[in-house]
Amino acid sequence: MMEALGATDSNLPLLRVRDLVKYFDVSGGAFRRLLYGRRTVQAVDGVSFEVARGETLGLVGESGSGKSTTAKLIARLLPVMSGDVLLAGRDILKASTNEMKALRKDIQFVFQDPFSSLNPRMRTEMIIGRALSIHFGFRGEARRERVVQLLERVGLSAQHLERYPHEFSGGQRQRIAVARALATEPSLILADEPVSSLDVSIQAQVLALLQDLRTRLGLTMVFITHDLNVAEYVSDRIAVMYGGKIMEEGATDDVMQRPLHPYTKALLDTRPRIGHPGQLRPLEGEPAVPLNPGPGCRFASRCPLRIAECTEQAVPLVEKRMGHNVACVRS
Amino acid sequence: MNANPMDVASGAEPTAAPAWRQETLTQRVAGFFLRDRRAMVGMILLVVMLFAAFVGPRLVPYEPDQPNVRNRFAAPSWSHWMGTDRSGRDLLSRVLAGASVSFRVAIGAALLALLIGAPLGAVTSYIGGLVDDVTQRCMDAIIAFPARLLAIVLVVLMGPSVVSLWFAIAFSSIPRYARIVRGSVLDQKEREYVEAAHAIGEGRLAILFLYILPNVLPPLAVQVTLDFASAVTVEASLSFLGLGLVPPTISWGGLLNDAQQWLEEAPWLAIFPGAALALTVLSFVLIGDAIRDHLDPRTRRRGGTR
Repeated sequence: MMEALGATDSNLPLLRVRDLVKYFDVSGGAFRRLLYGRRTVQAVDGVSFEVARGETLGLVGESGSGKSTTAKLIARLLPVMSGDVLLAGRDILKASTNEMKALRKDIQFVFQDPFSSLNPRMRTEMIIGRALSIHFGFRGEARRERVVQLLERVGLSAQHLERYPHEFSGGQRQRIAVARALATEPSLILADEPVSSLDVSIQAQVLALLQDLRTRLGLTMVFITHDLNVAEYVSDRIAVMYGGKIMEEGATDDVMQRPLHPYTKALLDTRPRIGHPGQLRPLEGEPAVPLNPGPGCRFASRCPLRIAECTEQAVPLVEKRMGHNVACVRS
Repeated sequence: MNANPMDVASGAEPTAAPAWRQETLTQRVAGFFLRDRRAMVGMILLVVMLFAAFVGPRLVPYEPDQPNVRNRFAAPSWSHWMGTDRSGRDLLSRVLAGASVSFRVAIGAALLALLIGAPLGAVTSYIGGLVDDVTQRCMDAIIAFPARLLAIVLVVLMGPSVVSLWFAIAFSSIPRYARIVRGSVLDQKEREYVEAAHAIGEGRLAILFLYILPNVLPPLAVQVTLDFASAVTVEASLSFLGLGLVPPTISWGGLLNDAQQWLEEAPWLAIFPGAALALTVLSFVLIGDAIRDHLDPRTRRRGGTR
């Protein structure tokens, strides 16, 4: 394994993503491809970022911005087209099937919808216990004890062991999903909109749970959300995605208080805030589906500050202020 | 409910209010048969037929093969409920003996088709690609043959026995199972819980058998029930044609074949085995249809009617 030393070097970022690319073929079969040519959606197009140990990165964007795809690429739930994902210096994307089994232990995923991410025909004990069996060989009574510990850690208890997913509320299901993710004792958790499908009152509880676990277990997290308020609450740093590219990236306060990219500004304007009635400004136009786009900025078609230069050439992510990067010619 | 020190995070949510609680599987199955009248009638009929097939022969006073030349073609009476045939053999005893043969052939054939078709459909569709394509085209080829014709050819090739009937009848229904399972697997394998299973490091086989297959079982249950019915009729028609089980083995098809020469003189010889056959098929079809409607959200009605 390359850079074996890297795993022990705490200065190294835990997760380093470089030039991640994923296009989806949407031509719709060989015949149509022949007729209309290949049509691809550039779901993730050259995304790079780093997450330090113990840090939470909030990945923010509208639906279709490629944030979920990014997370699935990192967890190798989807095949990557190009790019590198390094976890503590180890290249995940080049790991063999056997190495990957060990790496899965280190990266865990919390899905958006706990109604579909839990197998409807498995009891709680089995849902969480499988992870323990696969990675630690726990069985029988020992496994049950460990499952109970995990349940208690997420605010549930031994009485929930025998239940099926449909017997739980949404918030409780998401707690089970979190317990399943914690079972393998991962160093990185990828949370894909973990509270978006929950009632607002329950969202706060699950967010508090995640925050609590993060501080107690020293978890590193990539937290995906379309909700800026949620992102602000959970993240140390925020990366804003649009059309498969990162538009702006920096410390949470910098991005929220002093946004540099017109898209970030627009997003912040759309967000309802207490004490500022009537200031809601919806963003004009439809979110761009990056279907065979041109070379320029993905946001150009909706951007109020657009100039000719925006659409002519690629706009790289550059550091404008200390640790605050933006991809915009006008900033 | 929890003695956990975490305050906000521990969750003041109520523990599963009644809305989320559901009955156990046994309660649900029992409730289904009690609520749906079709299912109930079918089930009662089936239980009666099964009882007749497997306990009945011990309760009747005559051996099915015992001839009585002084009592040929006796009409139904208190001593011979279903009358006697051309050799004076008791028809009731013979129908009961035929019932157990029918059930053994039908159940064996349907389960054999299930055991071959379901894993075949599951594995090939899960692998996908060329394997899936080739298998599906083979299944199409089997479906293209009329089921009975195929069964006749196979039974002629293998010779008449219960086991060869199993294979002959099962063969043409294998594609149905393969397709049902394939459809469900393709549907299930895109679900998020399968992705979640990948994420915790489950292998492909574990995902298929532990996660996907249990979710495919309901539509299979319907198919097996309906397949019992069709296997009963296929066996009867093969035996009627003299291709299935041949004397001295007693089968309903064979009884009907015997009866056709004496339809005017002794119609009971055809009526009773025919009725037994019809009622058996009816019981399976009623149950199968009821389950299918129950599983289909478009026809599912709370409480069940009809």
